[in-house]
Amino acid sequence: MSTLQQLKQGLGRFWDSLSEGWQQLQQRAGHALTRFQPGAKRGELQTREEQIEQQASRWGLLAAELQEDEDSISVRLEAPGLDREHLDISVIDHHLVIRGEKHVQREQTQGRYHIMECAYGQFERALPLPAEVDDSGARARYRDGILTVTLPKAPHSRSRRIEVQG
Amino acid sequence: MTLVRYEPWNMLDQLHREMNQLFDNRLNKSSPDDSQVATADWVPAVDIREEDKRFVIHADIPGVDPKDIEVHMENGILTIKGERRQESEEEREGYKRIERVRGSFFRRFCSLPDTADAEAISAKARDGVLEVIIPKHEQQQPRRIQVES
Repeated sequence: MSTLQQLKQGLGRFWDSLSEGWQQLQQRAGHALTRFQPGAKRGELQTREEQIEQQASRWGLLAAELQEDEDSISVRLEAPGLDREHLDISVIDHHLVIRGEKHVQREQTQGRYHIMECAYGQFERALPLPAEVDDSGARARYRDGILTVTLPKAPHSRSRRIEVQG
Repeated sequence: MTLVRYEPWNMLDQLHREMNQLFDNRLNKSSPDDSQVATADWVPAVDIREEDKRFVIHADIPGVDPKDIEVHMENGILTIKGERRQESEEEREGYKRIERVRGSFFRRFCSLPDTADAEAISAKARDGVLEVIIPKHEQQQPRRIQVES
C-alpha cells in the first residue's frame, strides 16, 4: 500500500472517530445547551446589572433527566441560582415547559470580571413527556440548584398489571 | 482576484489547536497537579470578579451537597473540588432521558495575585451556586501617594 493510501485511511478513521465522539456528545449534551436571553429591554436605559448580563455567556448547560415509573413522571433540571418567583412551569401539548430567570445581583456589579462563563438572563426548556399526565397534581421543588417536577400520570395512561386468568 | 490555496491540513491543524485550547482553558492543564484533573467527571462554569478589597468567585454547582465541596488555597493556587452524588440509590431505573453527569468536579486557578489573603478565604453555597470570597491583604490595597511640592 502506498503511503498516500495509508494516509488517506488514517485520515478517514480519524474523521470517523471524531464524528462519532461528536455525535455522542451531542446526544448527551445537545439538548442541555440552553439559550439565555439577556433581560434588558431594548432601547431603554440599562442598569449596570443588565449591561453585565449582555456581556455574559448566551449559552448555559441545563442538564435534565426524566424518569418514568408506573404512575408518575419526574423531571430534574440543573438550574443553579434561579429566582424562585420567576420560575414558570407548565404542561403544554405533551411537553413540560420550564421558564426561568437568573439575574446578575446588585452586589455583582462592583469591580471587574476576569472570567465570565456563567449564563444570565431568561431561558426556556421544553421536555417531551413520554405519557399523558394530570397536571393538576404536579409538584415542584427547588433545592441546591436542582428543580424537581413530579407529574402524576393521567389515569388511563398508567400501566396496569393484567392478571391472566386461568 | 484573490488566489485561495487549497490546504486541507490547515483546517485539521486549526481544529487540533482549537481543541487543545479548549481543554487547556477549561481544565487549566498547565497546573502541576494534572492527575486529579484527568479523573474529574465535569467542570463547573465560573465567574471571577475583582473588587477593590476582595476577589469573588461564583461557580455553578447544581445538585452538589454543600458538605461535599472542598475549597482550598495554597501558594496562590485556588482549588475547588467536590462530588455530585446520586440522589438516592433506588432512583436508578426508569430513565427516559439522562443529560446530567454525576461524579467529581475539579477546578483550579493559578493566576491569583499575591494580594489574595489565603488565610481569610470564605465560601458558601446557595441554590447550586458556590460563592468564594478571598479578601486582599490590607497593606497591598492601592494607595494614592501625594506628591509634595
